Amino acid sequence: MCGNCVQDDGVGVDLQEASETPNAKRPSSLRMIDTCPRTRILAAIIFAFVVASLSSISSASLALIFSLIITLSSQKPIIELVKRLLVVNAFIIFLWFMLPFSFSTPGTVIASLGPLKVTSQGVTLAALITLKANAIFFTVVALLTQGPLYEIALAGKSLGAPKKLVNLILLSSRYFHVIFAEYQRLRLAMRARGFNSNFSRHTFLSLSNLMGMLLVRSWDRADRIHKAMLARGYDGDLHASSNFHFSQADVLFSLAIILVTIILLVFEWFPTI
Amino acid sequence: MHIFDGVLSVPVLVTGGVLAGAGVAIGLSKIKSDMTPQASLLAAVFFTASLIHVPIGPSSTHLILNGLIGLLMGWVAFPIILVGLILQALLFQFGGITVLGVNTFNVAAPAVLMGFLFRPMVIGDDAVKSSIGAAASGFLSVLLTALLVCISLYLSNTENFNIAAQAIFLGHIPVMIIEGIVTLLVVRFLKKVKPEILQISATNLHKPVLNKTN
Amino acid sequence: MVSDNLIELKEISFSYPGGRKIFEDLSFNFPKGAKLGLIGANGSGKTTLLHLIMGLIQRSKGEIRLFGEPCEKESEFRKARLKIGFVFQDANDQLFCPTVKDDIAFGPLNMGRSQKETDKIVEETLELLNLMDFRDRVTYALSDGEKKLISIGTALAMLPEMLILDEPTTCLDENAVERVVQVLTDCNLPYLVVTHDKQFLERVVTSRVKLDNSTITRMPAY
Repeated sequence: MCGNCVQDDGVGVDLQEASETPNAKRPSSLRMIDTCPRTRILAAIIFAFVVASLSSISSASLALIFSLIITLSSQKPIIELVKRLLVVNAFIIFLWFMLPFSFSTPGTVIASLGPLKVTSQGVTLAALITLKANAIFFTVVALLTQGPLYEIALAGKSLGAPKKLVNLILLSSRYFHVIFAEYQRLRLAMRARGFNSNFSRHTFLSLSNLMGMLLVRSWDRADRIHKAMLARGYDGDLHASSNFHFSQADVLFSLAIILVTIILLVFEWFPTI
Repeated sequence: MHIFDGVLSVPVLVTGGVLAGAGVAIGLSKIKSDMTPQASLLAAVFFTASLIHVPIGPSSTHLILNGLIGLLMGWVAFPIILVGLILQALLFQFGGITVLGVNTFNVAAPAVLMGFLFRPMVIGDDAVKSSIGAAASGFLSVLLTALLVCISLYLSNTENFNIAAQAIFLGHIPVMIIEGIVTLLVVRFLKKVKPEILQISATNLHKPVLNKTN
Repeated sequence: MVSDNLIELKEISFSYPGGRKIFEDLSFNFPKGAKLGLIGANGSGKTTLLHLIMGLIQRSKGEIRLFGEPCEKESEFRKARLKIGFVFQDANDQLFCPTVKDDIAFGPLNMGRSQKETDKIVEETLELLNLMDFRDRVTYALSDGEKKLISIGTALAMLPEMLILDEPTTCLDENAVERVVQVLTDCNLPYLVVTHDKQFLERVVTSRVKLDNSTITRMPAY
């Protein structure tokens, strides 16, 4: 079906948006853009792990509310987020089909469909996961996709991420677009020759050849890139400079995140409050 | 085939993070500075592959190709897969920060194992053995990844993720077959068009850990 | 009513998503049996026009008829595409199979031809290109000129009713250009060719049109 090509193309468009929109400096109410990427990385990691550890519905609900506040203050286009939400929640929907029916410890049956018993504990667990998954998703996307990816990578470097890993991220995010464009041109040319992706030997062979060709061309391109880098004095490090400083916005934002974390943990430990 | 945030328990997340960290450290130590562009571009290609829809009957799946990554890159599979997941989390804005470690380990560990088990067979001259090795890498790497995903779920909530884990494993059987076929066909393509890729990546990036530290 | 045009564009508008407007109310006819050259400045939208004709990108407004049939949906374009051999500007975009014969066979197999028929077409195509001993060569390792000839071959192998060629002589040496001219003369098909290469154009086309600012104007014949 050609639906496949269209879907692939769709991803391509999203990508360009994803890489371009963060560069546009929108004024944000909390001026989150003023915070240093290092602060945002640390905040995202702390918040995400705290939320992952929550086990009560009340604290997880609160976490989701906080994450929505963070998202709104970051002023990310909501429609863009909703598209991703669908993908993230596909697995959650799958769990909703499984968990309510498969709670093994004797639970309180609240409904039954033939032999299937729906337990309140199963429903609670599914709800808990849904709240936590979405709370983490919103926070991470709001905090870490705020600026271009290289900024996050460089911030990671200044926080002690291995230099080689940061170089890998910088180069592969740079060349991903080149390779993806190459993929799209090859795919376009295949369509021009009547290619139709269906469940057949011909399709598997063609897609594998396409994949192989991308590998071969990227291998040669890497070789050219390396030579061009050497020609400009590459010595194994990209020396990308970053100029991060801890500003007033960072102080305020850090305090806010610490406060949020404490509130969440209090709700977790004393669920009756 | 990766797990989203909010599903796994904290001990599982931390264990996954530690194991993946060790794998990534070994992988990075194998990348000499002159191989950084190669490794980066392969990471980008494999990330592109993960966007290609491959039909399964009336439905479709995304390629993982961790078997192929393992065959080509050995331990470097760890950093490559980590980079792919970071691109997915941030460039594609799908999130997945707490599970970065677990997902990296679940996909990369089988990849490295495939490299050790089947690389000699695959880069050898015997066409039949090479094909069998490639197909086995594709099939088994996805099988092991599916198994690790199930184990991650099972360890997080033993009683209640049981059935979901089984369903996930069964659901991935067609993916294993597809990955076996595609890995076989891509290896054949590489052998025909540019055999150096298999050879070079094997010699430059694939020396066992002991050789280097001794 | 049977149309006398293989390609008919009527008041086509097109702009890239979020980008600038490329065409507004553009009309163009490609008559039966024509050997037509399309010229125009860099960025005038020649390649975009070709991709619109092939249905590889979607117009925002206007009518496209290919071989007399209106083309609206992907399925209608797909049918028409099989009758147009399209040669991309960069042969590397077109050739993705391990060997020459696989690449030539790709189109016929997409059209549902049997392996036997396809093998025969591959042989005939190689003969027409005068590249018989290239059958099992690795496509990726060929020279630019050879790649260009093979990419024309991959289009011819679909046994099309016409060809569209986008800048077929870019990066080719004189000898390779000579062979492209030879193949175009031998294949005995109508074609639309986009090029900046005046000498080449003079030898292969009977009429010329110019694309400028959304309008296509006839140029004096040679």
